Amino acid sequence: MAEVSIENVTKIYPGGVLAVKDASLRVEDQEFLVLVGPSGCGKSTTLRMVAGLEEITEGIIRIGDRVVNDVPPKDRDIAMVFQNYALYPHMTVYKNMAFGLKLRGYPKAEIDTRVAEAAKILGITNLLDRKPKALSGGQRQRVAVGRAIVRKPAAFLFDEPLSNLDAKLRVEMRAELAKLHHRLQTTTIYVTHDQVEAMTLGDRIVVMNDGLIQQVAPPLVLYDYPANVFVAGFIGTPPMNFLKGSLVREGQKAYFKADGIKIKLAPDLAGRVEAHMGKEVKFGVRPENVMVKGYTSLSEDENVAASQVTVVEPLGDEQIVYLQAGGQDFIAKVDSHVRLEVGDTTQMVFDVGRVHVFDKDTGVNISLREKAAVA
Amino acid sequence: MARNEHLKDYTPTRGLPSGLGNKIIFVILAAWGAFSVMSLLWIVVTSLRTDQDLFSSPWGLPSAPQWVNYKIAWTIAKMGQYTANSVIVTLSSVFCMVVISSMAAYAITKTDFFAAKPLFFYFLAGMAVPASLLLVPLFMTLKNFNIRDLALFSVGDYWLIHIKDFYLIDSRLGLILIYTTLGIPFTVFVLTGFFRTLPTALAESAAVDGANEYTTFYRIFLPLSKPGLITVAIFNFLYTWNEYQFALVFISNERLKTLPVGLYSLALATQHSNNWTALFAGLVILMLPTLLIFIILEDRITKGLTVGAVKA
Ligand SMILES: Nc1ncnc2c1ncn2[C@@H]1O[C@H](COP(=O)(O)OP(=O)(O)OP(=O)(O)O)[C@@H](O)[C@H]1O
Ligand SMILES: [Mg+2]
Repeated sequence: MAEVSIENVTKIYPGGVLAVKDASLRVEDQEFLVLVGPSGCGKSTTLRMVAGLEEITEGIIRIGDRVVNDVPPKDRDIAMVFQNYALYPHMTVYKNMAFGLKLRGYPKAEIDTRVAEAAKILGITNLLDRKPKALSGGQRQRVAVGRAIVRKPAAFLFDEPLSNLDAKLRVEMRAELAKLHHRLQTTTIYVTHDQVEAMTLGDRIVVMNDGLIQQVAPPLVLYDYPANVFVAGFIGTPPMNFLKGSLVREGQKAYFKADGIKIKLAPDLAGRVEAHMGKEVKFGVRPENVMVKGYTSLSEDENVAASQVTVVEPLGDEQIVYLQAGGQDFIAKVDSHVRLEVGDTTQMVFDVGRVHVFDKDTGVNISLREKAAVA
Repeated sequence: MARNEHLKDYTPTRGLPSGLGNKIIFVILAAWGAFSVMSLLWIVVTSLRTDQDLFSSPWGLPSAPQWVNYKIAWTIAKMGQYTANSVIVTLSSVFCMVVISSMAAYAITKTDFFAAKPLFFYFLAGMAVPASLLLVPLFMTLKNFNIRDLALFSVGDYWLIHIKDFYLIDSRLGLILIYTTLGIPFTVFVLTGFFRTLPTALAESAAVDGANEYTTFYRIFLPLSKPGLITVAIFNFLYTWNEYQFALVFISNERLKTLPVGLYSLALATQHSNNWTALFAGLVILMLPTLLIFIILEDRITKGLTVGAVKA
């Protein structure tokens, strides 16, 4: 058990690729922290630096109270689960799990007990004598996790452990990992590019892009208060809509205004974006906060835009509706009993209590209340 | 290992293959095979005949098997001694080659050793040097490397290290060093190819599990590269066992000669003593290990031809 802290860490690969830029993070003891971001954003690099598999170009990494920059992986007291599991092909499941303990000189009886215990938790007791080749993907995954937990390390590191499983198994294992963490309470850093995994597993989520940490926050804070355009667009499916336009003030009222769209801002929001009046911005609204007039109690005169339906995708319980207003495309997620046909023109209502305004150039969310800002 | 999986499914084709080109090739290979087998059989059969029989009808069968030929070859013609030398030199050389090369190949492919690439090309360049070109320089080098009397580190009246009359010419150790050196480039080349097919994540996994570089090599990669190790060991064995040129140049002491060279002295001797069939017996003794290896490990050898060809 330990906390892990990453302080101003930068990684430049030989050849000059800047993979991680000045990252600072603090993983609390017993926390489940998820690193999420698009491919190539530096998630694995960050994790591998914690593991000691990559050298740190600049900065400090601590595990517990110890600076581990120059500590080899074997002495860091961490366990890692790799994307392709990296089980030792020539060893049985038992030996795979016992390997780390044996190297650390545990007595045979202790090794037996620990392996048996872990195997029981993971439901692989009947597989202990098999070689990895004779296991299914899901079973291999369990063995890889088992190999990590027998060690009772200070921290677990997972690098996309579920990405090689089929969709159904992934959901199943996701729940099991959550259960496992609840039971073991070991500090965990978990890398994924699947935002559903991130939202369901993480105590806190770190969103990375292009080597930079964008935001660190609990899942729902991240969803409701994205720090910038990237986070807003990355978390949530379908992604948040962004409309281009500008902020204008007319008397007491403030509006977001674009071709064919004029939405009145809620007074508190208007106050927060006062400094940007008259400037161009990006107006962000999630698909579930765009509704059809007549099917919602939120409609007033000044939060509505006449829109044309371009595509309708029924999903059963709800439908994804592609719309166009004033030449800009956006998406709405509406109940499936709302009757909409391609070509219809409807009045779409924007839930102005849940919209975001982003600086057009920096992408920073300028509509955040101070206290909800980046954790 | 997954990338090597297809090797397991390898089964040699039997019978006449399809396609005219393949048929022609098949016939040529079959003829060649038949010719080789005939020659071998002739040698074996002749080794059991008498000289008179041989000269009266070269292609005949033995009237009564002359096992005495083997006895003559083994004892009088010193084939026993030659065989012992060959076994010592070949096994030691192959062992050293495989140990050194597997470590080098591991360092080149699975560690972040800074000079991995230059080192690999250095070994590769070694394969481009014709061995016979090395005869003279090697001879000069080894000739100059000798220790008549060297004593180091005294404790009271005793020397901890005391070497006397240590030579590398006319010495089995010298020959072992040469063979090992000559074999390393090829062995490193094949083994790097093999190691590259093994996932690097295994090394990382082992490192996190608590293994140091040596443990990772010894406990993970060495066992996993067994097919590759066996293959290079076989090829190097065949080469070293049959090597003639270096053995001839570097060994002149009768008691230290290896089989191929010894056989030549036997041939010289038989020219005067009229004991040709004993020479044939000697040939059989020389061939026997090679033949046995081919028969027992045929599978391994044919598979081995593709080891290293599988690139990551
Ligand atoms: N060994 C390496 N040498 C040079 N550049 C590398 C190396 N490993 C990764 N990179 C680069 O560093 C950047 C970050 O890579 P990293 O593997 O951390 O991404 P990631 O977020 O894990 O992506 P993915 O989701 O695809 O696994 C990428 O641009 C990648 O090309
Ligand atoms: Mg990755």
